Amino acid sequence: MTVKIIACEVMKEELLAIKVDEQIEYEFISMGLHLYPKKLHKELQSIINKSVGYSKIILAFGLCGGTTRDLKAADSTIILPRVHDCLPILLGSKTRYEHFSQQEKGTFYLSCGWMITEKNILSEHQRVCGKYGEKKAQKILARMYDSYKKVLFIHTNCTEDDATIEQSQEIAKLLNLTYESVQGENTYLHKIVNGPWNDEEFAQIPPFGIIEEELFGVCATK
Amino acid sequence: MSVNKEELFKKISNAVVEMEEDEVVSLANEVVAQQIDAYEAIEQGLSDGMDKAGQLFEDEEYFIPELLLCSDAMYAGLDVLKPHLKINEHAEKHKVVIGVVEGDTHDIGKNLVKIMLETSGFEIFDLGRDIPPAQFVEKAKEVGAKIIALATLMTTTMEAMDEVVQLLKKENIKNQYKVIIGGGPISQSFADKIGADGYAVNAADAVKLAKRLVEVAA
Repeated sequence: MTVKIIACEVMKEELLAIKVDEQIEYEFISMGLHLYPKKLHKELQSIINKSVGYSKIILAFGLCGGTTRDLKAADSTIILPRVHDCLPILLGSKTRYEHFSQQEKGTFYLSCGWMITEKNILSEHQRVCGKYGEKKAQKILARMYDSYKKVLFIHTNCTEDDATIEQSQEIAKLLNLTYESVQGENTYLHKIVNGPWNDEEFAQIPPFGIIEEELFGVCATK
Repeated sequence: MSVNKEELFKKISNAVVEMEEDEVVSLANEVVAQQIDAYEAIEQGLSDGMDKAGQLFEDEEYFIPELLLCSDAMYAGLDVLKPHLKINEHAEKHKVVIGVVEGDTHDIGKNLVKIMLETSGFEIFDLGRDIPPAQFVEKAKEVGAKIIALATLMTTTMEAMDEVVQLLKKENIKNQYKVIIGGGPISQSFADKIGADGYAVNAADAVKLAKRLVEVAA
C-alpha cells in the first residue's frame, strides 16, 4: 500500500530531493494559506478526508499557529512531526533551532520555500509607497517589523537562484536587519519521509483520532 | 449651532477609515470649538471609524498597513480631544494591564486591542512585549487593575499565559482580576484549560469581553 505525504509547499523541493524507501504519493499545499490558519485547517481536513486507502498519512506540518489542532484522521494513521513550525525541520532538529532562537529571539528566518511568500514584503512595500508615500510606508515597516534584528537564511540545497538570494538580502536591507546564512540539515526531513518515526520527534494519530495541541507540548500536563 | 453633531461624528469616522490624519485633527478641533462633548466624539467618531476599519480588515479589503494608518489618524484625533474630556469620565475608567507574554515579540495585535480598549474608555497600562509572568501580576497589583490582558502570536509561548494564571492562584488573588487572552493560536478551549476568564477572537471582541467582565465584577 502507498504512503501519502501531505506537505507544505515550504519544504517541497527539500522533500522531493529525498530518496524514498516505499511507494509514496505527495500532495503539496500552497504557502499562500499559511497566513490564514483557519482556511489552511479547512483545506487540510478536506484533503485528509479524501485521502482514504493509504497505509499511512504523513502530515508534514507542525502545529503551525494552531492550524493542525483538532484535525481528525480518516481511515489511516496520521504521523506528524512534533514541531511548532517548519524551522526545526529545515534546520535538522529542535535542538539546533533552539540554539538559533536563543541566540536571537528577533530572528526572521528565510529559506527558498519561505521566499515564495516573503518576497511579497518587497512588493507590499512598493504598493504602500505608491499609495501612501515613502514616509508613511517607512513608518508602517517600522511598526510591523521592529521586533526583528536579523535575517537568517537557511540554505537547504534547493535550487536557490541568484534572484531569490538577492531578494532575501533586499528584505534585510529594507527592514534594516543584519543578514546571516546557515546550512540546513536534512536529517529531520529524512525521517519524515522514511522514518523511523520515533516518539520524541513524531506523534501518531490512530484512524479517526484527533490531533490535540498537547501532542506539541502545549499544556501537556493539564 | 451651525454643524449637526451627528454629521460631524460621521465625518470623523469617515476620515479615520480614509486614513486622513490632518482631516481628523481639523474635525476634532471643530468639535472643541463648537463645545461638543469630547467623549461622544471619541465614541461615535474615532472609535466608530476604527470599528469600520476593523471590519474592512476582516473582509480583506484593508491590510495591516491600512489598519495602522487608520490608528494613526485616530490617535491624532484623540490627542486633540483628550484634554477636553470631563473629569468624572476619567474617574470611572477601569484599568487594564496589557502585554505580549514572555518569549514573543509580535505586538501588532496587542497594540490594536490596546487602541480599541482605550477608545472604549478603559485606562491601559501597556507593558510591551516579551513580558515575564510576574511583571503582569506586579503591575496589576500596583495600579489596581480589573483586567489582565495577555497576547501571543506563537504556539511556543502560549504556556506563559498559563503561568500568569497560576501565579495569581498561588498568591490567592486570582478572584481580584479577570484574565483575558487572545492571539492567533489561542482558542476558547485553551482559555478554559488554563482557567482564564475569557478569550477574544479579535480586537472588537476583546472590547465586548472586557466590558462584559467589568460589568459582572462591578
